[in-house]
Amino acid sequence: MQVASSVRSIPGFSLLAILCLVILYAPLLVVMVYSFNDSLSITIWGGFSLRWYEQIFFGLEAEKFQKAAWNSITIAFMAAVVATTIAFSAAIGVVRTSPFKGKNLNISLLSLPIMVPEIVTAVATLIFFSMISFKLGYTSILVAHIVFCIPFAYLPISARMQSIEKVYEEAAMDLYANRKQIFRSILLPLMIPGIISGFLLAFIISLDDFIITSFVKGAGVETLPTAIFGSIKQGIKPDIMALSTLLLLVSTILVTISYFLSRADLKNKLN
Amino acid sequence: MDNNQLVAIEFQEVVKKFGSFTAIHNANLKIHDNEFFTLLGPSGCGKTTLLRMVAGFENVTEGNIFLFGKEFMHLPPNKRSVNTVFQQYALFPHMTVFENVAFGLKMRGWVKDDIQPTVWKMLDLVRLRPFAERKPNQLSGGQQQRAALVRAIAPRPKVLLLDEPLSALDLKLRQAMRLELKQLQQETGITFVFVTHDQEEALAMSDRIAVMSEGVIQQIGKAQEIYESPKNEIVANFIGETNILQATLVELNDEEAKYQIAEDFIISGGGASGLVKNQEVKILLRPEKIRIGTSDNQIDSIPGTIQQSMYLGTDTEYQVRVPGEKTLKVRDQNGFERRKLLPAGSEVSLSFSKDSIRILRS
Repeated sequence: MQVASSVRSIPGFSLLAILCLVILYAPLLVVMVYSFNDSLSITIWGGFSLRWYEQIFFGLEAEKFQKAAWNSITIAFMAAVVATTIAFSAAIGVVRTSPFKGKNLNISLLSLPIMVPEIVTAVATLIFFSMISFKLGYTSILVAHIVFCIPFAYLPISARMQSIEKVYEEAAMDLYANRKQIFRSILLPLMIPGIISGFLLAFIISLDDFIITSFVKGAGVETLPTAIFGSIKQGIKPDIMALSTLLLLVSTILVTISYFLSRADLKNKLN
Repeated sequence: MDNNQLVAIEFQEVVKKFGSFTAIHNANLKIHDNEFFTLLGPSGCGKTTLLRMVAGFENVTEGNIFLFGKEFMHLPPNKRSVNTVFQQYALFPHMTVFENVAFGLKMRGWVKDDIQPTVWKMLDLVRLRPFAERKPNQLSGGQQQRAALVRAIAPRPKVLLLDEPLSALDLKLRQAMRLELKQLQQETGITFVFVTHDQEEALAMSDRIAVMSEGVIQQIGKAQEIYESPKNEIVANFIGETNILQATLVELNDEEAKYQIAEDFIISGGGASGLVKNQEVKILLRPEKIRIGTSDNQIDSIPGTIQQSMYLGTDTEYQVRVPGEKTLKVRDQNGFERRKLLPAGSEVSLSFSKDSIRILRS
């Protein structure tokens, strides 16, 4: 704590901190505020209005956005479910086993994709799909999303798994529980916070993915990010701001849930 | 102990190796039914390994272990009717105290109507009924300890294994729990195998103790035997404090032997059977067996000079310089007679009874 206070005593520290926060959040704030702008211009304030929100739901492009939103949400949900299941199984295999040859390699290989530039993954996925003549469309997006979501889901799940001491399973085994019962009544309940965090992270990552999706989506199928990108090609209209604000809202809610879950968990552990 | 007593656990020539490291060397040990048995030794001596082999968390490299005369090493931990109280308790954090205690019974396939009264009975046994609906993290250390105890006792195991269960508690609580553990063992009639590095704990609770060091069982016996007649230097050093003096047997007759420690330092004592004249021996003398006096006209007393005195409340500990450049540790009880602390430099005379010295062949 000494170190923290010494950094804070450097002159101009708070100014710098505020500047950083402004740079981080000002663009988001502008989008949020101007999504309620009555004016057609995106730079001149013309009074408060909900017309752009109305536009998204009932306007000319409403059908397109709704379809894209439906695609985004269903893909994100399914991708997150499958990725979480795979990540959970992987975590059991890697964390819950005695050391085996290549265990460390396995751990690194599982989280490496996070560091691979997304554009590389996108190109590689597209090449792979065309090599096996996989028809591009809804399913190809889903498959690609499942794959790139796995390492993200794996992060909180394996972290949680590592924090659960082996002694609980030993105690359960000592008290006559078989493998299945240990999994169901000890490991799974203790893993729930990690699983939920992993699921939410995968869901958000999938929901806002643009690069990979735009490579593998094929013609005619849109997710929200690609639909938004498509419609700003003809100029930024305020309804995009409204849509972005809604997306931001969904993300914030999910992240907040995830945060409180891990907080409650931490509190439990500390007591 | 009576030889035809029922044997709960028997170790036969048990060897345990971890890679090239031998953790247990040919352990032979019989633990009797309804006994409070303690495995005592410093950390890393293999006592926990012995326990984990009985529980089923480690396999046996060589030899065999029997539970009431039956082989059981081939069974997985969940098929063995022994239960463990873990050092860190390992109470399931997502279950209430009640659910924790009920867990073993549920896994054994008990019906709900049988589980309920048994769990309440167990909770009453350790006064945890008011805390039944709490989660483990809402309990104090002592309460967690008691919950872990009854969770392991509830399925009525044939043997209860306790792996340093008191080490996480503070001193006062630890002392209270000693009493409680001993009572619990007597009330339930279950064989307790207790692992500890705390000699006081071992002496206070155990019917018998096995002292272990570096994977070898050094001595098995009752508390008093282990303390009063340690078999070797390792045991003597580990249990309590002791003065060890190198000596030569210089005189030997039917009743008495004389041991020379230094030129002008000869003590007489018994325990000479099987020894021959001029044999090198080690003399063990407990600090509290030595009487310290100020008058120097006592028969058979050793003159000495106090080098250091340490007041410890119930006792005073003196380091006394004796002939032959040796230093003896002496413990003098601050008892009935109120005595003045003898300052460093005081000339004193030390005496002890012949029975209180123990001779080891070196």
